[in-house]
Amino acid sequence: MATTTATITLSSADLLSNVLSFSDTTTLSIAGSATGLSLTSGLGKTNFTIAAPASRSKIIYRADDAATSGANKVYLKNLSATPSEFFTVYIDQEEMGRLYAGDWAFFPWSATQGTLETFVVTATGTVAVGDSWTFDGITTTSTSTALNTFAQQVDNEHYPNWTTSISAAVVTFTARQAGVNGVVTGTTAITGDTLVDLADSNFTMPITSGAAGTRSEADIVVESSVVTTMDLEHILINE
Amino acid sequence: MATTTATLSISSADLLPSSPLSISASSTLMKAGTSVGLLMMESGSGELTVAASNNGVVLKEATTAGVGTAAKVYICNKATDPTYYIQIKLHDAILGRLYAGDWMFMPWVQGDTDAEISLEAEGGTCHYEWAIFKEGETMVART
Repeated sequence: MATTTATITLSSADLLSNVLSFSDTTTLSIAGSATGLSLTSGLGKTNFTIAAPASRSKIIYRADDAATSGANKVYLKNLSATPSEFFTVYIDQEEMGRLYAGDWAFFPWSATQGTLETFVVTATGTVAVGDSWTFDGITTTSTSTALNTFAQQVDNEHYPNWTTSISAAVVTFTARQAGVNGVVTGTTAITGDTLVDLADSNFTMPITSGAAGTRSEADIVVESSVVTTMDLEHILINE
Repeated sequence: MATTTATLSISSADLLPSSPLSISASSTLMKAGTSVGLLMMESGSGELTVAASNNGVVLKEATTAGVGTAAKVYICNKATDPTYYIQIKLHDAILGRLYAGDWMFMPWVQGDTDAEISLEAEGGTCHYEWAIFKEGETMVART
């Protein structure tokens, strides 16, 4: 286990008639225990230069990145030196507040996740060498006349938005991120795939089951106030 | 104007085995978009029982005087049992859990009418401390 401490000091000589000075330190532990948090995104810096207001926000951390209901902690800092420049921080659709130039935040994060979309396809019929199936931008071309071998080829691909597992001629696709991907429109259809059956031998890759996903409701979204370049420093320390 | 400084230090010798982690951040709490310090502070402490905070109790309501301001909120769970935690919500959104000894410091939109901060104790009674640094507040007129 790792030992990570976070200390805050708040001080002012003139906010009150008495000097304000207090400090608090916590050791970052996993939920409900004294075991230290051991995972981190690492310290990062994200630049915001997008001009279009609708595109100005960025997801800094997705709920999929951390354990739901864990004792995850997030640090954000606006690195701008211009007082009027700020980042607006959102938890999903809920606005938290503004980080003005030099401001920082450190807060717990429950990372409430959605569900991953998933579907199952089964290689059926008669596959010929050269037949192909395209999905998520990846085309798999059969090198065999065995359905199981073709299914294995599909499983061997690295899909940008999906992971796969295999059993005989059955391949299960699971989305890498929670959300309503729109690929599964029911348990009987998927969208976005293309099949080429060269020999017209009734080779198909039908969906045999599936379930639509739901979006996460705790992604950390940050939007810059201006279109000039702004930098955000951030780290996630999580379970 | 007042000068209030918030300093953060995060450190670990073994979270990243190849290099010690050491983050330090310090900011002077200013009014939105200016170099004028925040003038107002509220603070307090309380005790949250699981039953009494079952559906969340409001730590602080938003106020229209807070629209677009640079308010900051500090909350600390002073419980010592590691299984006790305070769930923090921003209106309907669950922000996270402050476990025993944990603290947080965040900006607060404050002026949004749906931006109240609420707390809910889980596991057992949690003693907590809080402070809000802000620009101003509309006082209620005498009736």
